[in-house]
Amino acid sequence: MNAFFPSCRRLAIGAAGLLTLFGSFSPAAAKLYVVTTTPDLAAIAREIGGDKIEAESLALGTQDAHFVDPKPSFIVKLNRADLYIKRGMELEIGWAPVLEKGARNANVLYGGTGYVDASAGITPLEVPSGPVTRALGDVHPYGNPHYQLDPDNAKIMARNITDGLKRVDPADGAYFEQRLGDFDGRIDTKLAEWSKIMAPFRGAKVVTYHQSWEYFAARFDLQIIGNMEPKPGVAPSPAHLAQLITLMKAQNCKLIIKEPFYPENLTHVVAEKTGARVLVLPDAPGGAPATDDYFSFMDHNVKQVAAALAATKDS
Amino acid sequence: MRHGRSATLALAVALAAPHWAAAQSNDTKHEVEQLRQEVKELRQAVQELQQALKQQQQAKPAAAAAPSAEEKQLEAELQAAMPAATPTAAAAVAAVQPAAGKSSSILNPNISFTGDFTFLGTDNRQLNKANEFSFREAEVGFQAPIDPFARADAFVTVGEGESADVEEAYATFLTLPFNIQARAGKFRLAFGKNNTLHRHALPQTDRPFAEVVNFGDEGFSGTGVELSYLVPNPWDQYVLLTGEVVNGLDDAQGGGQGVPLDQPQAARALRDFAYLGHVQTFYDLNSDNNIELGGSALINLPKSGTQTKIYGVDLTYRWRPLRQAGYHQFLWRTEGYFTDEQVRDGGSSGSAAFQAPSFSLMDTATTNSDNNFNTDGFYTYGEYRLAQGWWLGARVDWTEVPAQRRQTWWGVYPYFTFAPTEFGYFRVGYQYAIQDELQNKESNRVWLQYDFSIGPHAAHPF
Repeated sequence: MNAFFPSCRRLAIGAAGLLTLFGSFSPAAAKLYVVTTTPDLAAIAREIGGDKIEAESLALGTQDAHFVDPKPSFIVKLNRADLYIKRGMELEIGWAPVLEKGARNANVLYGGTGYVDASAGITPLEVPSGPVTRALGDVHPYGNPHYQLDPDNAKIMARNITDGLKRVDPADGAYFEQRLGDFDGRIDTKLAEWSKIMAPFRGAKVVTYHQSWEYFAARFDLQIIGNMEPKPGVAPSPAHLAQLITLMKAQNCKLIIKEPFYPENLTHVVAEKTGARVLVLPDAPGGAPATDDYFSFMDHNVKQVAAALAATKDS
Repeated sequence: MRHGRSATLALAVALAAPHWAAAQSNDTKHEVEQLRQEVKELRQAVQELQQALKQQQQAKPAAAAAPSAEEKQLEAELQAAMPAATPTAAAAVAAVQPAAGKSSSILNPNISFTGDFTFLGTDNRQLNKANEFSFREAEVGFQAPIDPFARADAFVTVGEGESADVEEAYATFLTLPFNIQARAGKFRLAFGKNNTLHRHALPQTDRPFAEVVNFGDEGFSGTGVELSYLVPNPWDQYVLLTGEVVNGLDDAQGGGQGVPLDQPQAARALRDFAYLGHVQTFYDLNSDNNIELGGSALINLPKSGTQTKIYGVDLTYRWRPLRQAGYHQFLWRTEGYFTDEQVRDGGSSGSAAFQAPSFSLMDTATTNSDNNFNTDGFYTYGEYRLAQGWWLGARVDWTEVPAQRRQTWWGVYPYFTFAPTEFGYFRVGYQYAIQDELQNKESNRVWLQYDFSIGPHAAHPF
């Protein structure tokens, strides 16, 4: 029994040794280490941070950002992070708080200098009015968090990221500002190009799996007439899909957009019944081949939607 | 002179007034005309919008509208397509973890309520609450930052027919240096994986037998302090060391602290506390596969009574393909318990948290005196997520009962979980169990369960 307490002393000495040995250890940090919850944020951070940062996203582009496993290895990344960027509007509410709590890095906690909510300044769509309850499905009380699909919002996200980078690295503030100006200019140029591509399809009717394409539709004047999910986060039911099929037929809707992580079977059943095409599009960079940066990602989505709508017109 | 100037001014105003008034009148007419036109256009636009909305509402799926014959036909066809397409079960851990929502009001803590409703059907009437419905537990949670440096989490639970108890109430100090974090209060001990989970977040309806015989059917919460250290290393691997000190295995002492007692208590020594050490590691094999390995040691060596040492190992493997459509995933977890008890002074089992589990023994087992007992136990389970809301799993239990001779519990337990959303799930399971100390050792059990959560309840640990 008493032998236990000398063991405790040895354990305490060992722990102190570990603290001394590893406490001072930190990886060589020539660049700022930026951790983001989603790949769109990492892509924009790279545009602004250039060679001054290393950016990494916790979620992959092929992954549903609502449901990411809060793996302990993510805690290690947050522990090392100089800057932590979230999509916000409670998109990550089911998993990010566990990581933040375990990170042991006060700088990246809410209110810290290294914490960025990229949604600040975004005009939210679909902010629920009236009583907000789970009877509405998995609603986001602050509005629809899929705002990254409007390129105009990318400029606001970039502004927020620039401000965060300047807070943690004021010395390179001018560098970040210069890159922000360049990014905004390229967005304006591409947005004009994308708008031109989408102009022939103004008012076109589409169905989406989840309510994640509202900002894209608003930007390019598409009309989303329904969703595969009866309510956000609720799996499709036969009754709902039967009504959706009727609606699509009545409104001559010939396009269903879904992200790579949503189930395919039922989407194809609905497409078969309505003669619609199914377009699998990423909602973040990296969700499809050769879409690793924000411009190629949006380029991919705009051209795919335009091609699909053109094909439905022709058919 | 002054009067003359005033008269001239008045004359000028009088002459100019009609022209000014006429001009004003023309401008006003023009403005009114413009406004009239705008109102007309707006009215037309509103009418168009109303018409469009009406059409949309008529066409849009309306839950209340009776489905047409064509829709019924479609529904039947889709229903037939469902089994292949729908099955899913959010990680009993993940899907069952209720996500948080918007705080109901500024500066108030997030408040949540979770309910655990079960039915146990069995052929063994020696089991508590056999063939009865039970609202096993209601849990109210309060969670919020205390200040910029710490946060508080408190969970009060009430079991049916029981008084309210604080399951956990602790402060976590988030901003300590050297990768250290501290907790103080009452918390679930970091022994293995399953003991850290609240009842509504368990992957099966009951706790594994090995945990029950060591810690009781609600697991083990203790009052004390915890320090944990995230070990930095050149490989950026997750290595977490945790040390906890709590009052002891017979933790729950009633009465107010500092209130005078009739008789002085025995002096409390360091050895009367229970000490827990835990190491947890995690390895990403690749983006789809990972392994978690942990080791625990819980030691309580009071001056009098039972001396207890419990060691544990836990291993979890997860497969979750991120590049594959759908929600398929697989989890396999095993925990082993190795208990060493020295029963003295005619005391009862030191695994004192072992209090009549709601489904288990009607009478608590007695122990031999003057004995050392080395007992082992384990459970292992695997569960596969078939589709978005469906899980299929099975658990195997085997354990010796601490401080008992040649008495074992073992069982097999296949189950099925359906979680339509993250905020509620249904579970059905069949359990076959043998418990040596029962007169009727064998039992067949059917568990039905519905758990739900309302309000913003923060996610549980991974």
